Amino acid sequence: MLRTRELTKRFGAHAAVDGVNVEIRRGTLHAIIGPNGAGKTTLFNLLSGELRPSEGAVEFAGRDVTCFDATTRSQLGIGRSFQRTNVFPKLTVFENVRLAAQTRTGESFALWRSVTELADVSARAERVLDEFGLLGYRSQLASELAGGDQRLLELAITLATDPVLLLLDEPSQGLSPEDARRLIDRIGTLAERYTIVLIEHNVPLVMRLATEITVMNFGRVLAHGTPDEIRANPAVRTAYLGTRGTR
Amino acid sequence: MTRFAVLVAIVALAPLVLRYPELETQILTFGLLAVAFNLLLGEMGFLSFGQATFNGAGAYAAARVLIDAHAALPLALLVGVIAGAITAAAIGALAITGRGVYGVMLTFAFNEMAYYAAFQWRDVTGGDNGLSGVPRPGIFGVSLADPTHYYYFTALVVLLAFAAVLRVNGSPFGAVLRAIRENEDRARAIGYRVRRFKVTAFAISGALSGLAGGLYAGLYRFVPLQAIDLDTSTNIVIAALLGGTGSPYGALLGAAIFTVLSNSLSHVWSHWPLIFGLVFCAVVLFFRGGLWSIAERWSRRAAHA
Amino acid sequence: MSGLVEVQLLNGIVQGMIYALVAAGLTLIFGMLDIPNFAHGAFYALGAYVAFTVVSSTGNFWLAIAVVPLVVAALGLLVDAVAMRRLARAGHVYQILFTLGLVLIVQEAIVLIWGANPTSVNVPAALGGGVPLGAVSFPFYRLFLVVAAALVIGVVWIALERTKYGAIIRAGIDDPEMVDCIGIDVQRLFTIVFGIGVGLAALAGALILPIRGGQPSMGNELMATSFAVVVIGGLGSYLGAVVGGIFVGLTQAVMTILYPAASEVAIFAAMALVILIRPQGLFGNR
Repeated sequence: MLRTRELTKRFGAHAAVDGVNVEIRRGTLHAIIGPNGAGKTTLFNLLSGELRPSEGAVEFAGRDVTCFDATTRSQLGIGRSFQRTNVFPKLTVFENVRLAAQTRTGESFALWRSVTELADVSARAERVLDEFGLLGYRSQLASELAGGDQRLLELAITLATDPVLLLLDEPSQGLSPEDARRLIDRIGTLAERYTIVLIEHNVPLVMRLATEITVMNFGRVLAHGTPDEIRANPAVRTAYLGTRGTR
Repeated sequence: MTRFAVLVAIVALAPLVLRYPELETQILTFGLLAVAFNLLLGEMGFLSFGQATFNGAGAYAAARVLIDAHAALPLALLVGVIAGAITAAAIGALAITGRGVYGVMLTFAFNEMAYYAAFQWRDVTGGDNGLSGVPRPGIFGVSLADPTHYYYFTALVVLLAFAAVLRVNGSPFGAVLRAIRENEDRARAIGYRVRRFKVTAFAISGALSGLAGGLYAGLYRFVPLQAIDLDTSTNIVIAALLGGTGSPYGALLGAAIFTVLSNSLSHVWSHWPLIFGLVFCAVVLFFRGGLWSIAERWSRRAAHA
Repeated sequence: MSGLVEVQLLNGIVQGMIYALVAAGLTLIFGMLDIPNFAHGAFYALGAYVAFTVVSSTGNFWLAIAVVPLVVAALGLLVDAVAMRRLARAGHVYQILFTLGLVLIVQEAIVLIWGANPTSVNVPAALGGGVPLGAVSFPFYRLFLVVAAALVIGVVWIALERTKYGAIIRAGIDDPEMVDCIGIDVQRLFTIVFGIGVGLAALAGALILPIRGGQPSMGNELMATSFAVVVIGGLGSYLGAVVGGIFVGLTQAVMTILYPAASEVAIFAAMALVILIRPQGLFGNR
């Protein structure tokens, strides 16, 4: 579904992402792990179109999307969530999600309709909110939500754009263990319906959820395989897992 | 809806209470300018210091059509609307290349450019002396020569424009503008072409400002150079902030208060801008919601009591 | 050659140095400190008027040049401490709006204190006379202005580029928390930079006084041109502000010779061109 070819991003002389080839297959939950500074988020920004690569290409659904910006890629069905909660703070929870659902209607330049007339947009927003257990907060401002709920809202916004591929950048970061568990469960259910690429620091959790894992270090792909293969990979153990002390 | 009904009632009855139809007409045209400004700041979060540019473009264009072609008033106003929209779209497209303060500076600088252009282009604008001899034709056989008649004509046009603004704010388009205000990057990431929305918002704001300019030209049968100068842009900003940017009603309220005060205070104490400046600074420091938010708080408290 | 063209060009450089001083201050405050101070022009006007008071009460222009930047900078720092920092959390828009209110206050206070009519002072006696240039002569004072402005601009530039403090300021701008870690009081440094920025504008006002005199609206007129200068030069670039200032001054002078009606519009047309071709400005790197 998504494939990169020799993807490289340099900042000055430093290559944050260096000749990366990954393939994300339909229906997988593909985790990208690696120590801090391994280039995971930069890779994500290259996949979602926030950054342009210095070299290499990104293909999505058989199409070269290297030159497409984030907006276009989002319209093609690549939805992403952000590491820092990235919502519309002074709009209500419902408006947050409705805005995301509205992107797919072609009605956004309708000046003369009332936004409440877009019944299927509202219905879709409600469905997504319900799925995330946020329907009870629909009239609250996003900024008034607790941290964990804001992260859920962040995900809900991404899902409401009706993506086919989800890029999730450390969704559990900054959450209490309990909130993190709730979120991860949610991602587990989402994996049944979406292709997901996940950056996550919590390695045991990743091992449990992911169907495929790519390990990055110093901007390069260190290893790729199933969780079991990764666990058994000696290079990964020395470079990453060993230092983290995972069982 | 009830608020709009109250507004219509106030506008309809105003000339019966206060017998200064010219002043009241000016409140309406200036109010429309503040509402147009507020579409950009209140809804989209862009502080435009160039609103007089669009006002002036509309005023000169409408006046020229009235003078040179003896056009009917609605046609002249339409020309003003188009002139304002095109000017605003062009300046907006340039101004939004930069973020934050940079964009504000650009609207400011382009306003100064427009001022000098109008100042020098005497054949069209009359330069320093202003553009005089603008006819005010009647409409559908009704003469608008009487100031009160012209007031009601202006009131009709401005109320329609105001209703249109309310409608746009409540539209899917308006929702996207607020998304841009709240988090431009996120709006882009979920698939909105932010640039197009911004330029469109500028065009709408410019169209409304151009309409206000056209009405103003008809009011005094004259377009002064001040119609396009930076002080007018600044006054629009001040009036809208004073009223409150949370609602178009606030902008209208601020414009009314500003117009009345600046007309009356200037007779009392010639240094009234000093007080205005102090009040304005206090509003920015302590009452960022403006008068409208205070009024809303009171009415909520009254409703609870 | 009658020398008239040369005089025009020299005048362009004189005006350009004034723009450069003001825009250098603007780029320090807007670009480096990220404080949108729209009252920068008002500080320039205050510089001229305070200088007027000093000159008319003591008769000493040199004293005015020395005192004015300090007095006005102190005022600027007061504003920064009282309002701008408090408004930083509310966002740029409110900082801009506050300084807009300040512009109103300053402009009207000038009218109240010094009157609405233009004021002027004589060129200091030591700098009277002129340099012959063809059939005309060019005033000494204007040459002095160019040299003085260039000196001040150069000193600030050296302080920014070649000293430890300059390096810290630039580092502080990239990463304030980082510098905080090293144990340097960034806030105090920022305060100093803000003061220097305001002081540069005030100095420009004082220097222009013997040539142009003072008018209450002088700050407003300058503000738009300074914006054009920093957009052309690149917001946040010190060198850009200086080169942009001289460029704009010369452009005005050349246009005044070629096609006077467009001399003002030409500046902003140049600005529009820069936005379209090189949005980060000639010397900007963003």
